[in-house]
Amino acid sequence: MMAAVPATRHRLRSLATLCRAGPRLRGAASYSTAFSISSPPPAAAAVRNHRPPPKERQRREPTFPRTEKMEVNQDWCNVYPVAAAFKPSVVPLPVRMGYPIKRGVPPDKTGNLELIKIPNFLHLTPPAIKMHCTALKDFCTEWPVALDNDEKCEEHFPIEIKTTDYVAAGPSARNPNARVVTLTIRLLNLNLDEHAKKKLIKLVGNRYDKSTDLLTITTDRCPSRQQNCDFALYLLTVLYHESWKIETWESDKTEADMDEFIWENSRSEKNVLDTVCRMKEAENLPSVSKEELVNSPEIKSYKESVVNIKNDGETEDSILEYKESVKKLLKLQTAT
Amino acid sequence: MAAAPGRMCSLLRQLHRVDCVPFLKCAANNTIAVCFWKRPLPTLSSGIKLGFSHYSTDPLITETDDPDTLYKKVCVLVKGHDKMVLDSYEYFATLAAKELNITVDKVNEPARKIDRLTLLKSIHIFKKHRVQYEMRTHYRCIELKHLTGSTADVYLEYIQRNLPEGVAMEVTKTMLKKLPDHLREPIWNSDSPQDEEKPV
Repeated sequence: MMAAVPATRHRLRSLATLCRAGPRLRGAASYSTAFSISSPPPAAAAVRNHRPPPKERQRREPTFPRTEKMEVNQDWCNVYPVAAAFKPSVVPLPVRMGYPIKRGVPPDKTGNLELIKIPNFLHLTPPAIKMHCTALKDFCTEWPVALDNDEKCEEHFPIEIKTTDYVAAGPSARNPNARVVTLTIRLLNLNLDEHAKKKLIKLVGNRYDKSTDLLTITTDRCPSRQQNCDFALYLLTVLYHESWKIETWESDKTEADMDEFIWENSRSEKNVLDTVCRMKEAENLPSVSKEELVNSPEIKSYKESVVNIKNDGETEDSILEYKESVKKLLKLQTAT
Repeated sequence: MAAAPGRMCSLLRQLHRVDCVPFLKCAANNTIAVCFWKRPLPTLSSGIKLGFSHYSTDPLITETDDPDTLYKKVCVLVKGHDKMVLDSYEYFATLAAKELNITVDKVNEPARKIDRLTLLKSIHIFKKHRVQYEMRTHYRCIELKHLTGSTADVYLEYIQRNLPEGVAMEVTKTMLKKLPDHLREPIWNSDSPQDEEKPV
């Protein structure tokens, strides 16, 4: 606004002089400029050209770095509100960084490229972080108090879905590994009976970990994460329902197909009971019913040792146990 | 109405990323992103009931009925070439978690990995003279326990916006999910009018 008023004044002045000049300058009067012969006042020129005139430029006062004008109790959050490069005139610390010059000290902060290159956390001082967090707290929600330990979490939420996000600078913000979804569930939490559990374990193969009873399904065949998540749940549903189905050919299972040794109704049980009954007959003792025989401690220990050997394999301890149980059964002298 | 833009402006100033903040851009238009405002409130009777809280003093924050997701564990792995930068970042992340009432399970430093390559020093012949380069990657893992979806989104966004140059991050979230109804018992046991045995 200030610039316009003196200019118009000059224009008017020049127009007035031209008019007074007479008819000779009538042609020139049509294009009169805003500049007149007299030198313009310095303030106007400074505002118009945005540069002080040469005399004033030499007389400029020397500027001090901002560090010297800082108060001790200033708010640092106002000095570095955002992530910015290190400015030696703004940071009031006597920082030195770099390889020592001529076996002396590291170079100081003015003109130090090492200090500018390294990312600084001057905008993330503890008061700044606290200020940010107080603003962000309204958007947070609290964890339900009832789910304080892992067992309760598992009881109410048996399925765990693991996903990974990747943040990196590069030509693309996307990462193809971000679509991978891993679903884990403990088979205890699924409603399965013995047959269904065994069938499920056979169906999944090495995705089941026997020691932790964890079934892990990893899906990455779909292009997006949501699709992979849905596919994993679909797989779980299908496995669950397939394991409950009993095929007609499953009834043709023979003893050789069995995956673990079951003592009830086996040849071993029959043989033992037969032997004990014949022993009792030979000694002319009263014959005992089958249930009582089965529940007697000798037969129980024999059963355990046989099941141990058949299922877990032959070890020294298991064979010794078998020997002891047989001796007890046949009432031979035991090595106690 | 005057207070609302004022509050959001101060929030923008505090977060200082006005140019590339989709959530806060929405906030500037006074339509706030839905995913922030799900508030679960459990009760201990017969399982966990998810409803919404009954306090809402701030008119800018709206609550929705969708239940919040629950994260049992959020593991933040940061990778960088400079260990001191990762030290500072770890201090920042743990302090931010403490301020937002997030339990930090553990903070550990996996072993660094060095990628080395050996190249010929000269462009032609001189096979015996080589030059070796290496790239060192340092790691830092921060494990957080028991986060809700809203809190995790807020914390991770804050952490990621202040990620320094030259540092990469991998976030592994373990989400808790209820057993779906169709897995409680085989679908042919329940009296459903569906014809197919297997649900799709």
